[in-house]
Amino acid sequence: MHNLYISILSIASLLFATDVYAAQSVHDILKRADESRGNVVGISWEVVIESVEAQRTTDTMVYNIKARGFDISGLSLEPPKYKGNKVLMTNNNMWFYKPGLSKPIPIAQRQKLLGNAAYGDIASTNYAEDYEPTVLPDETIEGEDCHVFDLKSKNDKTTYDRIMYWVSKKRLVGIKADYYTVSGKKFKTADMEFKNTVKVDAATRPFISKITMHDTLINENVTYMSMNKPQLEALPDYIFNLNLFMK
Amino acid sequence: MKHHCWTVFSCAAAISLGAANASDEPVSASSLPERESFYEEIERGFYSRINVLAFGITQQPANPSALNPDNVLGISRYQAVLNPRIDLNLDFRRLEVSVKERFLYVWQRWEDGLPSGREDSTAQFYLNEGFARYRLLDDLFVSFGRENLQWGPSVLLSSSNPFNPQNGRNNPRVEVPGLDYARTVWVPDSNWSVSFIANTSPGRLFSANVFGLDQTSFIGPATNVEGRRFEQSYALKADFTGDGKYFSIIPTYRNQNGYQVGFFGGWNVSDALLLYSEGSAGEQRDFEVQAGTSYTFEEGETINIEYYHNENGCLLDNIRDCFTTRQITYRDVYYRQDYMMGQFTDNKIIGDLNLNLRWIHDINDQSNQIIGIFEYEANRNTLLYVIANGYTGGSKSEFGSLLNYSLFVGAGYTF
Repeated sequence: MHNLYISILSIASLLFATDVYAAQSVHDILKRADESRGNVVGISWEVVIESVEAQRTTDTMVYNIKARGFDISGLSLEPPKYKGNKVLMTNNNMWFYKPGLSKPIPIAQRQKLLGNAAYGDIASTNYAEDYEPTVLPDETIEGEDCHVFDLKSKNDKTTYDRIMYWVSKKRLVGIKADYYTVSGKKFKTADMEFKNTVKVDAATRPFISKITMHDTLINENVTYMSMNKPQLEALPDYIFNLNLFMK
Repeated sequence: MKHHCWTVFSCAAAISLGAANASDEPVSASSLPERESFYEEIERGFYSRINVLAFGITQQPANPSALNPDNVLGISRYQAVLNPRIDLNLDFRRLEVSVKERFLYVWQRWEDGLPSGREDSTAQFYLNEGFARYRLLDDLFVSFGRENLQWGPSVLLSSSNPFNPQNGRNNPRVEVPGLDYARTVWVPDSNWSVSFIANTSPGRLFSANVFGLDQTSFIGPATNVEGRRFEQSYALKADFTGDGKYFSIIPTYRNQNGYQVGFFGGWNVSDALLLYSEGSAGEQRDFEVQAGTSYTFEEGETINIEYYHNENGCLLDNIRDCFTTRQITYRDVYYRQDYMMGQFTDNKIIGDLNLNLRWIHDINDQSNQIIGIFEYEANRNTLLYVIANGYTGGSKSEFGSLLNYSLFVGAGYTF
């Protein structure tokens, strides 16, 4: 029986060789778009987060962030009442520390979420590798021709079961995404801007500068995230080590 | 909590959106200037936090009480405290220097027992933490100085910690005293790290209580606890962090109490459910274990349940006899054998109000401590807080023999 399966798979792989080639091309587009949002060796930047509810700014936070692959180390700088708060995620384990707590406490990935979204799951967002794309007809978003992909999660590490993703044909950056919960409900939309630039293989590329996230369940809720001073640099393992975590 | 979660979530989203993985990532370079001046480098590595705390405490000693008849322990009825805290940190190239300087002014008034009608005050500058850490290699660090070295997932106490099991969770506004350590940390990869830790002196371990700001309650110095001597200890701490799980083992040699092995570990069963355990075993029937779980609901509320067993805990009916027979040592955070804890946490429960409710049940003598931590975020700089403790149990019980209640009301301003 085992040999029969292998034979069927071999024949199928020959028959669908053309489709496999096409999928690889889509993978390259997604990978290129991913590269405009991060870097595997590491990125340090300042993230300013402004939360608006019912057209009123309810809070503004500034985080100093170091990220590498799925690992994150963040230090809160503003507002003063949150100064010194830290988050660490490494190997899908998360800790939170704030001055006075005495020690980092482990937290569930869900604890950092609004609604059904999970912090840790989102941190593992890697569209090219973690999602199975289905190509949809091209669309134009604010005058820009876009590839449109319906991304379906491949594993349980991801936050969203499904993402609708618009990638600019000209710039090869993702400019819009709709996020869906496991139950199939759309609950968040993100618009992305790329006013930062980085050099990759001696070529200048656009790099993420701002994300505007709309909560589709509560329409007035918007969160703006501005990513400033991006610095691509190798981040060693010690940056993400719990023993060296506290200030 | 929800709002804070949202902002943290947003931050996470920003991070994650910048954290795309690619195993064959092209060589990349930053768009920032390639060279920075010495001053800019210092400025980038400097961190400061100035926090001024002011609070008042009112507490009522239990009466009658087997442990504190006629208030012989001198528990004050009222306290007023001013506590500015300055945290300075410089991360410069391979060197990191951290200083946490404190000033504490305490005024107390007694209304119960022999010291009734007396008032007293004291003030002190002190260094709660201050250490230097040097990065010999990217995977090897050495440090020396005073640190509040805490680890482990448990809420009640950290039974795997041979240096100070008190983790300060019952009152986050009272700092756990720093101890003096020499420490080496080796980080060979993202999964493993190994630390060698030597406790070189008690630091502030014993001096912290003289102000009556004990973490467990506000009862002042536990002067009759046996063995209040510094015990030099050496620990090797090996940490493994795997995919959604972690485990640490801490073999220790203690000058007075010999060998001990501590451990802790946790498993993220799902995005909402965590399981964890912590404990230690050593010579002289020294065996402690904790097991706990936490579950986070969709809106962010979290419940914790935890069990703690201390094989050396005292089972004598009268808690006073536990002291007189020296069954309690200075390291003990809780005195009996078995405890249950339940906790409910919800930040931003109403507007900017954060809530933490904790119930600690002494299974052996059926006494209870109930803790409510309320925190209100008044503005960008100011936190107002109330920490209320209620105690139930007979006059010979652990929780029922010292206080009926305590109320801690204060404000914190952060620059």
